[in-house]
Amino acid sequence: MKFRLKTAIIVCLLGLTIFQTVRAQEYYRVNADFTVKVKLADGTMNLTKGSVYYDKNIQELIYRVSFPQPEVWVIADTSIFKYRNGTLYDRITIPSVNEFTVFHLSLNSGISDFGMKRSRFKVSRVEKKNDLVLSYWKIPDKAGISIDHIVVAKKENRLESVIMMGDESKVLSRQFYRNYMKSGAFEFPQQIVQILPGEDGEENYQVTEFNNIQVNDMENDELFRYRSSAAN
Amino acid sequence: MSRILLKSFSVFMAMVFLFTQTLSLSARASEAPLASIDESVLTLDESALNEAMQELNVLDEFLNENAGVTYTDLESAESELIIGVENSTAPLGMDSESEPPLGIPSFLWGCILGVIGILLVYILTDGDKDETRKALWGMLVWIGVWVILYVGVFSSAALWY
Repeated sequence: MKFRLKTAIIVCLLGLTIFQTVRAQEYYRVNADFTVKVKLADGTMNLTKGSVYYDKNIQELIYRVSFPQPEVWVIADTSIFKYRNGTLYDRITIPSVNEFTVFHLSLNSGISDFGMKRSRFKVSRVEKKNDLVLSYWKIPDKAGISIDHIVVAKKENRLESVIMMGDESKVLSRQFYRNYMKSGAFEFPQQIVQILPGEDGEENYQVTEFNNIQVNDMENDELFRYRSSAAN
Repeated sequence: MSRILLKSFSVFMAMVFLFTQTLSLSARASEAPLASIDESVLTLDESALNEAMQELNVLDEFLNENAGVTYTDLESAESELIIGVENSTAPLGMDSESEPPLGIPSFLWGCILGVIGILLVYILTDGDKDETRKALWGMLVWIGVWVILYVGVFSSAALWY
């Protein structure tokens, strides 16, 4: 009887330890300093800086912008809420994108295939080119968007680039994911370069950079949920 | 023994027959395979990227060294760092803002063309609710102005007579 009780206690302790270890490896929130630089072919430039917060359980993507001017953008469900000095000044309706952002995909280990495996799109072709593995994802006609298919390029099981293709194999957008930061099983690209070809073949550039990336920050709960009354 | 074997074989054949029939019914015409992508698409021209980002990198470095500086601060200091740089917030980059139809504000579409304007905005923006709402506001403002004018003219005419 004594032996059985001892065994039960040991099993319970072992179970608790394993549970704690598994919990510790669960990534649920990420924050970073960001810079978005845009240079269009016509010479127009834009620079936005600040910090970004995302908790996959809250599902609010919060951009706390410092430049060009302090403001907060909250992307929740199908809306973008824009606040200045804690007051809502604009609201835009958008398609639900949070689950396809680099933040959500990284936290759910879905970034390596750009979230395609969990989407309703079907892989149509897989091929190897040099050290890259390319998977071609066909977009259903019903989706009602100009993208015909998406090509996801992986190198050593890490997302390298995403190419959006239109009709007649026209390149609509090229995205390059670079300089990955690694913390345990969590991986996050520190630079995303997007190139959009213009009508006359000229190129429009967008570079998004992330610094001071923190995963599972438990000290600043209030920064992961936005309340309009709160100051910027 | 041979009878059992024969029976088993016939059951097996019946199942194969049924299976192939079901497959042929559910089979769809196969789509043409997607064309292989050109390798050049997968490479990034670093020098072109660096050249494009040159001015923005200088501004970025300045902002890293001077935290809290806003666009207005640089504007009032007549800084050369913001020449050609827009004063608009775009954390989502090039996809941040939706364009009004033909570059004309949706409010004006609704204000001038009324219901037709709202319909045009809805169609031209692929059902953008916010732009359509702006067009609706435009129409309501136009109706409001008309009502005020009508009441004003009517009452002054009544006073005249």
